[in-house]
Amino acid sequence: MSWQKLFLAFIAVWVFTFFYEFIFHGMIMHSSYEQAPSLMRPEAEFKANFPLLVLGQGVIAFFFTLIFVRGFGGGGGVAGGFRYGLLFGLLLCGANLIRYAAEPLTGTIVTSWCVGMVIQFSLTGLIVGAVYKPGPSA
Amino acid sequence: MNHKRGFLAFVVAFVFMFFFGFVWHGMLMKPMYLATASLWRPDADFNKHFPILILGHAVIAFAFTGLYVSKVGVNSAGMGFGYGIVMGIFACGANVIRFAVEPLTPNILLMWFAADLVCFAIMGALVGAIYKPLNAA
Repeated sequence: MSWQKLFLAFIAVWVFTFFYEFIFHGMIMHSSYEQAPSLMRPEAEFKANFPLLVLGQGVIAFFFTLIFVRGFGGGGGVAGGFRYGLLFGLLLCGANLIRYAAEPLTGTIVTSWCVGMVIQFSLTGLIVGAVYKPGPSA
Repeated sequence: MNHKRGFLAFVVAFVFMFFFGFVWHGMLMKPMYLATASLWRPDADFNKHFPILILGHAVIAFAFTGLYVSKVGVNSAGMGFGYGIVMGIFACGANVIRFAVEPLTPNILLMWFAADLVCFAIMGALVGAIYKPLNAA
């Protein structure tokens, strides 16, 4: 296993996750969240907790990358990364369905989350597969 | 890929996850959820959405087993346990993000950490113990 490539892939995934979620949740879904204000922290409280959000994204990015690298032993490539990300997106979609059953979210929010996460993690898998390629140093 | 063993592992993971969730969230954490009632559906509404909750468990069990079979794919409870721990830490990351956005209490967050780590570790061990690749079956 190449730690250098793992680190590079992890950083690429973390940066992508941050900007994807900023666009998806902060812009595209913003009006949907305004319809469920009791489920969201007020703006000032959210800002105070923002470092935790970035940390959570870092944890996700690191372990997503680690499982790919260890599971494939450095192989898999872009196509393998895409399939891997698709399954991860599906797993998180399942978690969102459970959340929808327990929380008074709207159908639009949960459907958008499922679609958004499958796209997000498929793309994330593509990135990991493209960055972490087996090679002489792998 | 051994589809028969993979399917069996999926069913066991699904059943385990469902009962674990029932005990952990439905019994152990119930007082915490009652203290934050405004965040959750009322009982009648929750019961109406129960089939979606079961579907969510099935989707997670399927993806969890599918990832193990395609990325790890060895017959080993220990390896499965390790896989489950890593998946559990991944889920903790998602919980931290949720905590940053939603007005949850720190106690709920810590209990979810423990739940995800324990649940996925045991699920992984079960899947690892049951799944056998074709050449080893």
